Amino acid sequence: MEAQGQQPAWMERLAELNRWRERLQSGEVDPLDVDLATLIRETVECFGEPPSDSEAQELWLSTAGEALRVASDLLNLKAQRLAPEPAREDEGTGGDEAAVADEPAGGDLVGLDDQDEAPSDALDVLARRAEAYRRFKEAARLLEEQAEAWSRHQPRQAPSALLETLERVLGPWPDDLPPARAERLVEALAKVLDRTRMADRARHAPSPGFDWEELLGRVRRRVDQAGGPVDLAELLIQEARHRTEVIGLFLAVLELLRVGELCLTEQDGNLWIQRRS
Amino acid sequence: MSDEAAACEAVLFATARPLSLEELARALGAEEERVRQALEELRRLLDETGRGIQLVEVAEGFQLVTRARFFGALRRVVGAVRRPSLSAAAMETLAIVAYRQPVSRAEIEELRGVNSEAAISTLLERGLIEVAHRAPTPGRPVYYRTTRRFLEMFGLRSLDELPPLEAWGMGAGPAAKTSP
Repeated sequence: MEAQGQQPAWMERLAELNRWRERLQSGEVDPLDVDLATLIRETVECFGEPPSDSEAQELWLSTAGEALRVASDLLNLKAQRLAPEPAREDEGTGGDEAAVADEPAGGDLVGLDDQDEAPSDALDVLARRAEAYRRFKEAARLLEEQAEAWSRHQPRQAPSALLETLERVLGPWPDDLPPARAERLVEALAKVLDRTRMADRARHAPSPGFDWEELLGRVRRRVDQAGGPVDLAELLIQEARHRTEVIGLFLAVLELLRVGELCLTEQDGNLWIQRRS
Repeated sequence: MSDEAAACEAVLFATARPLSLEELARALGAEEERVRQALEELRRLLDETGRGIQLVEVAEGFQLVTRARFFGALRRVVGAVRRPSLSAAAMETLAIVAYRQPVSRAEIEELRGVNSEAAISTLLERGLIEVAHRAPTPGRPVYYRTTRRFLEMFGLRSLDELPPLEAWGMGAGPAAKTSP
């Protein structure tokens, strides 16, 4: 029950739906990014049962009707976004860069564009989408094969000044951590530093003093607690209280890899560390 | 071997990335046509004498790379790292960008049927795709395209070498112009 003079929650809800419609219509938000199912379910729940008072009931009914109308607008906006786009009006008119660039490389792989006839029904659209998706999955597989074949041809390895310096300071890399893989470690560090640059805690926190043994101990503890592979980037981000500590922890990981306490694996583009068995 | 071919070999050996014809011509102080002939001579010589390296055209440039048949020996020393290690989702997204570029995130998600933000971020981080432009439509959606690094990583001379899917499906070989 609402307090005297306070707007009912369901009226607030209608206002919120209206705001969503404005944002979608203006293009401020992509309809594909909005979970309409949840939004509308919450709206229905918010309206609940009609009030017993006849005057309030009339307001409730008209508001609920309006909310349903706005919800259908939202669904329509999303449906339009999901449906195949009609032929663009500017196609073939300007010969501009975009028109040239729009032509898919390697032939028409999608099968959705350049259709003479509009899809007859939703099932037809779905079938075409499924076919396009299947072909892109196949393209992905073939790209992977191409990468595999090409990886057997190696260019000359460019020496990395940073790696050479680390090797001079920390000692030679172990046999199972060749310079090329160490290069990936440095890339991972660069990414973590990039991510932490944006974090407030990293920007404003005072720089802590370094205790080498403590850093080594923290890495060991995290790896032991996980009991399996630990994502290196996540370890650095979660463990470091300051950007400079990221570098300290990174050097600690390198040291533990170098002395053979840890080993390094790569999966899905991420580097994982774990205790050497 | 001519002086020009030897000079091309020296410059390409000292450079880890592919060099364009223009860059080579500038380095050698010679006409592009002359450099092209020198590169052809170098390629022929490397092939005919059974050398362990070969000259390939990749990413709109020229590069000296090892021959595939020595990969096993090489791997034991440097490891195989140039291959992009991507998740299935990222590879799928990359294939869509490669064949449909320029393409927006919404279009990618329409095709994949799932949120592709993480996959796109990974590809941007790895330098395999980049922002092509923003469309002058409401919301100014970002359109993506592949990068020169993509061509390098996949051994493609240019996007024109992305073969039609049908051709690949029929068992055509990889696009890179290399020999074993």
